[in-house]
Amino acid sequence: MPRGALILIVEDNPVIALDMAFAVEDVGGTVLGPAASIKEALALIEKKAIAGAILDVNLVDGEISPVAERLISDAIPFVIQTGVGLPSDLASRFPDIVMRIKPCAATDMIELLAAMITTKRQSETCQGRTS
Amino acid sequence: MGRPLIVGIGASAGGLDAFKSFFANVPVNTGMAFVLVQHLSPDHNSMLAELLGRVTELPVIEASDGNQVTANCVFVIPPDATMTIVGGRLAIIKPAPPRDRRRPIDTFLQSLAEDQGENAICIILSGTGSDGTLGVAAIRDHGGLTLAQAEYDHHALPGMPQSAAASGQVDEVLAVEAMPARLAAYQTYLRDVAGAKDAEGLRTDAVQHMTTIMGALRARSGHDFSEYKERTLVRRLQRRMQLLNIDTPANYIKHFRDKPEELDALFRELLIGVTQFFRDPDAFAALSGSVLKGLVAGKGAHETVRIWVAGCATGQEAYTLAILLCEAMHGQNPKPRIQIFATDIDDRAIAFARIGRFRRPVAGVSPERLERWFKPAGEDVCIDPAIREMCVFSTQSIIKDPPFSKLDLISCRNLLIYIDPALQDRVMRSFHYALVPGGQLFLGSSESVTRSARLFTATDKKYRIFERRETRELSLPDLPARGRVIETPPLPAHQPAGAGVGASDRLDKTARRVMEKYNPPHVVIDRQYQILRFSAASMGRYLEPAPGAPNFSLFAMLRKPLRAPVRALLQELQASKAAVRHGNLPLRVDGRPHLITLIAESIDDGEAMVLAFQDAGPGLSKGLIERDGKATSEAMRSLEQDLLTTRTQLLSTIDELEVASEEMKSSNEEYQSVNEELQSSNEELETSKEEMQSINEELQTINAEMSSKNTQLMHLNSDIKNLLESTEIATLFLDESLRIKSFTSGVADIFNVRDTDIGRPITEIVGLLDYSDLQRDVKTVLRKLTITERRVALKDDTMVFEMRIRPYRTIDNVIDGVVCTFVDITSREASEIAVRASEDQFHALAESIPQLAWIMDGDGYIFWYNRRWFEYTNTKLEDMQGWGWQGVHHPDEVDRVVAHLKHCIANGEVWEDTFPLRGADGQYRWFLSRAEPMRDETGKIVRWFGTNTDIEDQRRGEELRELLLKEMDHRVKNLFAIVGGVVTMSARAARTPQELADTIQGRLGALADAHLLIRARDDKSARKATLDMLVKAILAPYIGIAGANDARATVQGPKVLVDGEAMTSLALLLHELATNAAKYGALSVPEGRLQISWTLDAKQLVLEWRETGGPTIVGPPTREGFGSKLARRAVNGQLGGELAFDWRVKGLVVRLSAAAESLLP
Repeated sequence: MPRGALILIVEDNPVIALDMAFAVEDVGGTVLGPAASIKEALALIEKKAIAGAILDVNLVDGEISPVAERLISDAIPFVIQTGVGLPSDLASRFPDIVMRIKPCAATDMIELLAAMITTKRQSETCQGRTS
Repeated sequence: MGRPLIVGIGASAGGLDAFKSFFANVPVNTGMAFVLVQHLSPDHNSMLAELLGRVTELPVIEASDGNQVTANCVFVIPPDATMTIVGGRLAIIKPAPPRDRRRPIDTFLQSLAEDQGENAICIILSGTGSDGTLGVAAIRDHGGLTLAQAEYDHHALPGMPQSAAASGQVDEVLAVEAMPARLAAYQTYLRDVAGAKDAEGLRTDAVQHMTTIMGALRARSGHDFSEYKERTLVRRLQRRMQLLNIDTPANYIKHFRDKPEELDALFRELLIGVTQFFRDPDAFAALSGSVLKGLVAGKGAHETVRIWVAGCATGQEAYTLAILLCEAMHGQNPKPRIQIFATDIDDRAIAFARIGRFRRPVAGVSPERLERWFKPAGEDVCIDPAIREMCVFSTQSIIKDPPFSKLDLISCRNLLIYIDPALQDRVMRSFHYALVPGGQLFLGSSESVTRSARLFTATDKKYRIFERRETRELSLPDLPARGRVIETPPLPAHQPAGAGVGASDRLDKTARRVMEKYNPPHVVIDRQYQILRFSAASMGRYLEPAPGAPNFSLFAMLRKPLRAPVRALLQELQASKAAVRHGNLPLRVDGRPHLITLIAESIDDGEAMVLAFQDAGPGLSKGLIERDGKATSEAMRSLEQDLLTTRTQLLSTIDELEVASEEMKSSNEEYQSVNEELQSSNEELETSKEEMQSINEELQTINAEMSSKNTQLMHLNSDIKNLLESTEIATLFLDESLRIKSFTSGVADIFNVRDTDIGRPITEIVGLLDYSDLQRDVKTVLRKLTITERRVALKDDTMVFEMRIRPYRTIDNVIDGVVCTFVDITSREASEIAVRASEDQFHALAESIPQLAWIMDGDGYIFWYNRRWFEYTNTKLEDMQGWGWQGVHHPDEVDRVVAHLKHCIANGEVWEDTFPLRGADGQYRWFLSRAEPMRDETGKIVRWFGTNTDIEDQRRGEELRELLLKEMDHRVKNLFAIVGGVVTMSARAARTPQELADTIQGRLGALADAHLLIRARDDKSARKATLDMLVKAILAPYIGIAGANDARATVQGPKVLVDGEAMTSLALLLHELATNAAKYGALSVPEGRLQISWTLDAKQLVLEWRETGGPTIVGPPTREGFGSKLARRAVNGQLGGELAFDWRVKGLVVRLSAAAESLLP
């Protein structure tokens, strides 16, 4: 995980959210959130430039799809952990979304996300050099 | 050899095989000629000649006009032609008549019969229809041989052979292969007997045996043919002999003495009647026009037209007349009664005629008449009953039996030709007697009344219609009780054969002719002194015609001087019954005296007498003429004296005699007048006797007809009685005044009736019925002529009947009372009640079940729904029946359901399906539909009983459970995730495993408490989770809360409802604070106190955690513990609030704010 990378956590269960937050900080990331609702999450994305995100599917005010769509359109890497699987329309539209079924170790999720961020940064760097 | 035999062979177009197998068996040199007549298509060239040429070596020639028919040749009819034969030459007429009138086989065979007589042979081979039947009859009639093709044994092949054989005119039914041999035998026979025949083909040797044969026949059959024409008899006898291959009449006599049944065959042969409807149609048309129309028009309603058909054979002639009369009466009103007496001596023919059933096609009857007067009866047709009613059939002999009387018309066609002139005379006199003045006689085309011109005058010479003439002196001829006595001469021991017999016959005849010249003149007279015969010798001396109308009375014709002696002679003869002779009677002939001897002898058993006149020549007695010339004068004188004396005496005697003679004369005159009187009374008596005889005969005829009808009626009655009994329907016949006419035995169950009650009014009979309106109902039925039906029961209610009263119509459609039938419906009612009960049960069941129920027939037509169905769908049966139920199905499902149902109906599979149905509120609910087929005994599906069960709630519950399970799965997964999180988090700060375990334990405990509170609310308990409860639950393991004995903490604040994740966050937060306080803060010492208080406004919750009395706090800890970190994060993240720690010396104060909206999800 790049040092100080701002990671948004969207998770309505406090225990899981805290565990995830600690795990992010353990690897040198900075936690944004945890947000417990879609509304909150979208507001945070609007305010801060995040490097990546860890998302839950079922939140107090609905399913995660709007947040995921926003992140995809902004090309921000994210991973999803869920107890029930992806909403069907999201899964059909974006089959490449990285998703793990709960329970899964927070460290595994963060490793996945870190790899995605690194890959993205490298490609951006390459693009920058070439241009 | 003389003329060849000509064999006429008839077959239809398909008869080629039969022709082939016939000719395969015909040798080349038979000496016979063959003529083939086939049904040919008129526009088609026949290959027959060519085809036959291959199987026979005989030359096969297609016939052309004028062909001489020669032996050992085969002639074939050309297409589209009518062929006949005249004088041994074929005549061809083209074209053939139209198909419906074409009968080429009949046409040819009829001409063959007339042309060739017994030289003709006909063979009927396979073919359809009845062509040939009439031809066969003609051949047989003319003495020829008739054969028909057999199917097997001696059964005729169906079609033409069968039709011909059924007419009884076929001599033998044979297989085709056997026919040539039969022809050869016939030919041989004809050749052998040819010598014994005269120029007309009649056997000369038969005559002398006829008396013997006829005597035997009369003894056997009771019918006397001795007065039939000898030629006819001989011809018929010859046929029998031909068929039996018997060469001489003597052998025939021997044959029938061995086999008496041959006499029956001969009898039938003699009776042959060729008859058909409208035989000789022009004659019938003439009769209808000139006689019948006038006859019916001249009669009133109560008068009867009386007709006698003598010799009616199988009835066609009688029916023909009846039809013509009906047609003549058409449109006439009133119609007279018609009575046709039809008689024949052949009882078999009469039996046939009475049945009145004829085989199709009915020859001679036009299609219109067939339609109008005949009723089809299977293959046959039956004469219309109205026609049948007019005719009375009986066996009667016009010769033997008395005639009918007072007849308007006698039809006697083709009968007189068979009987000889003497008999014809008698028959004519019978007819004359039987007809009313002006009555008509209708004879056959070859018959005439020339011999009886005194009796009848011709009204239509061409068609032989005659009218009775008025003559006074004629009366009914005496009818012999028995026929002529016929002596049966002993058979000669040795019979000279063939030519020898003919030679002696000739000699006899010649001798007889010669001798006749020398016979005395004589007459034959009957008992009434009517002259029957004159002898060959001249009678002029003795008889002279009487002036006036011709008269055969002997005494009218005798010369006067002869009358007295002849009368005396005949009287003596009648007294003595022997021959009588009176000699030497003087008679003046041409002025000269002659001596006559009268001889009389009775012949024919006294029925007739012969009176002969023998002339002894002119002159007086011998003694007067010759004298002795040697007399003396003396003697002369004395003699002269004597003579004088004697003369004187003589004169006086003469005078006396004259006086006596005068006296005699006067008394004679007296006697004569008395005699006249007696004569006239006698004649009156005779006339009455004749009338009596006629009436008697008529009564006998009617009686025979009646008894035959009576027998039929008895059978019918018995049938009807059995029918009525077998139906077990009590039937009561009442007349219009309710009197019992008759009843069946079952009625005794209903009324106390006995046979003696017939004729009593039913109202007087005690009835067992609980029903009193019978009289009124019967009146109603009679008035309205309708049928009344009622259910009536016995008074004791043990039996129930369905009563039906209907008008009694006679056959003439006249109402004559009523018929009441009582059908026992006791058991039917019982079963109906049972059925109704079972139906009621079914309906109660069907209406009580919560399901929608329906019944469908075997074809998928639903005809019944229970009430639930209509309630649920709010529809009517009219919309739903059949396949109308599709209207309440969901459009998305209906096609699938219909297809599935059709499949089940087609295959008889149990129906089961689920589908939504639209309810009355427009909402669909799901149903499980099930139906099982019910089959009849043959396995055919007759009914489907179906139910639809509402499964909507069940489906909803299932969905909910599914949802719950999913939720549960989600929560469990979440829980594991949470536990995982707690474990990882706790591991961050724990120094020892024990500490880790305790920390995890504590944190999970807090989560569990929070969960408990959430669950408590999920359990729908009245309490809602509040912040107060949470705080107390978290702190409980550490201290007592205010109100308890060891109360070290106080909890204070308004009621705040908390739920969901906020509860978890708060639980974790409070747990961390409590753990911390227990380890390091106020709760780590007994004196420490804890105050928890909160306030809530619209925006946020503010909670204060204040510790006092704990160890002195020297400042904030250098490093924030994990617990604090966790707490802060929880507040920041989840609760959207702030967490502030104030490390005061007296104790820690924690202030927490949380957004009010985050407390409840």
